[in-house]
Amino acid sequence: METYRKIRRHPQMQDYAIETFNLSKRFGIKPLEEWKGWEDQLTHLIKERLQKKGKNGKRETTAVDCVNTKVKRGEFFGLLGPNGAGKTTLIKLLTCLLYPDEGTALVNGFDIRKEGDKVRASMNVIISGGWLGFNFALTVQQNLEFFARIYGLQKDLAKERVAEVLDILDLKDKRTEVPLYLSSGMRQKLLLGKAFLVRAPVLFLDEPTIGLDPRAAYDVRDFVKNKLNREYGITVLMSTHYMEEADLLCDRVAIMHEGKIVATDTPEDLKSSVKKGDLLELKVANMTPDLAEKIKGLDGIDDVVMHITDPVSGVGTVRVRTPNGRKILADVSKTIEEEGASVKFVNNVDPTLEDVFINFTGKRLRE
Amino acid sequence: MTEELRMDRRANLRAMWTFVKRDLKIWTYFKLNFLIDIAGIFSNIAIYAIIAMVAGKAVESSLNPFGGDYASYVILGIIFNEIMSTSLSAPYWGTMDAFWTGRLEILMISPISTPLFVTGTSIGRYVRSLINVAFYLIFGALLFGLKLGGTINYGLAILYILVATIACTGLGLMGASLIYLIEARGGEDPIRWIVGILVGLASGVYYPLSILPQWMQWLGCLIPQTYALDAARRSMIGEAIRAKTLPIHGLFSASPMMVDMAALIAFSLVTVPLGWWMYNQGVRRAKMDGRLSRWV
Repeated sequence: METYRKIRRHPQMQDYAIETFNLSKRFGIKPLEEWKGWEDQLTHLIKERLQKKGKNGKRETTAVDCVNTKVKRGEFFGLLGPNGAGKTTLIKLLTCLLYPDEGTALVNGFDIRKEGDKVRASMNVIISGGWLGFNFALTVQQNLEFFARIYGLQKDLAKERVAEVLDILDLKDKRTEVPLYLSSGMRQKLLLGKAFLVRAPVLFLDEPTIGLDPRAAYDVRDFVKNKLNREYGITVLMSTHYMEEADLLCDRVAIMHEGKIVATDTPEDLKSSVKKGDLLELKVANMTPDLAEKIKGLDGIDDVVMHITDPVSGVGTVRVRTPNGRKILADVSKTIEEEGASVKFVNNVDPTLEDVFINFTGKRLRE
Repeated sequence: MTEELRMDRRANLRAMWTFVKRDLKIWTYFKLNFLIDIAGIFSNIAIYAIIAMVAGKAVESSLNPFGGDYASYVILGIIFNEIMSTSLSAPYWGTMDAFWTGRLEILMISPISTPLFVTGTSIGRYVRSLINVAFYLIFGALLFGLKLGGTINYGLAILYILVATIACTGLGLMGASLIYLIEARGGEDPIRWIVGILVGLASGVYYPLSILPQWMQWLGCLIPQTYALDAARRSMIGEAIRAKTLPIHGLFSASPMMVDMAALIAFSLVTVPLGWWMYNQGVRRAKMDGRLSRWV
């Protein structure tokens, strides 16, 4: 165990595992004109960014914009935002894979600008698609042993930890197989096993359940929350664009939009902050694209969000935020009928983190 | 319940050994490919042995300082060049493999330092190269007439190749830095490319430099391989130890072996710090502009 020693902590870092100070990152970008032939592949958000110029007149995009946040020791902290919000860039900055342009951050008390080696010794990172980094010629067990050894564990300790990981993650039967032939859920488990081999105080998870089937996603969430976070006290910073996942797992959630953190609080407090009046959810058939605009034109409506789940039948949901649901329901139903659509049922629902996101950014998470 | 890790010297050595074992496992994973590699060594050496039989007499007089036997001359050239070309290419291919397989970010976010990363991703290639050398020696000595003679000094030959390996590693680091600095990710970088051409044409791997025009002999003096091949061959098969075989030898009164060693040390003193500085600059720049990883 000679590789494990107490590392000096900054006195001010007793309570926080992660602390950022005006952390910013900008990337130079090719102007839109140079993306000829790729126009169809670019989302509206990316096109918008390609046309922007930075403060210094250069064509650039600000991926992380003056982020100031604190994550308490042992906390499960979520970064919630759509693709392109800056979540992954923020994690790359905190894990020293990127240098910031401005500001800095402390991870486990160590400065990401000056003490990269100590930061890396204090944390573990699970990235989406990270299983590709496993060696194809090594078995599951050999891959885990490889990582245990390059993280400095002695042979016996490495073997002990690997056996424990295989047992806990239910991968014992797969220990002699190569990662290439594992299911996506098992590969993700294998990645998490890496975090469990070396129980560093801070764990960064970038979209840990993306592409997993519901059962595998459940297993991953259960392992991270109950084993790593609750039992071992590992501080977790997880980025996700699944609001249900953030709601379920996180002690606190930061809403990220266009590189900025626009709100941070517990999921409950974030949701209650937008609970003014009623939130009606109407399931509608034969919806037309301009239905939301028509409803928005009615008196007593704060906000309308429409989501078509089946483009063929036009079935979807309309969420209407209003100070008084009872008063406007008849008018809303009438407008929908006039547009040739029909209301299947109505529910007065509690706000979700999606509503919080809409409230702070004016956009949907999956826009 | 959590633990913080610090990599000390012993942990670094353990990590290094892990890299070696991994690379050997990958090399031997596809058994057929492994056998084909070994067969490639056999065919390569056979080609030059046949050339030696057919045309060896034509260059015999130019080979006097090296024992006069073309087969031995060229087999030793190939063996020494195998080690030096590995040190030239290992930093590049170690980094490239890590990049394209998605392991670069995984290793860069682990507690291993950049020197350990570069060494770890390269070291398996050195071990593999030494295994290749063993096969070259076995095939050469048993089947293709490799004759060692004159004043054999294995220790001296190893010393020269070792210093040359250090100098070539410096050049290799400079080449690898271009992966980050100019995105040379297509399997070739300008530095290794130029050095590779000079090695083939004017370093004396396949034929003595004395058969080339003077200006090409001077070109050969621009790379460390030329000095290492000259001195290592003299140590293994050389008979005329004071013969001046490179144009630069004529500029100094010291013995050619001393000139070769001085040149190799000078190359090492320049290429290693410069290569290391360039590699670090490359990593720094890649971390600034986000080109280090494929994780998006």
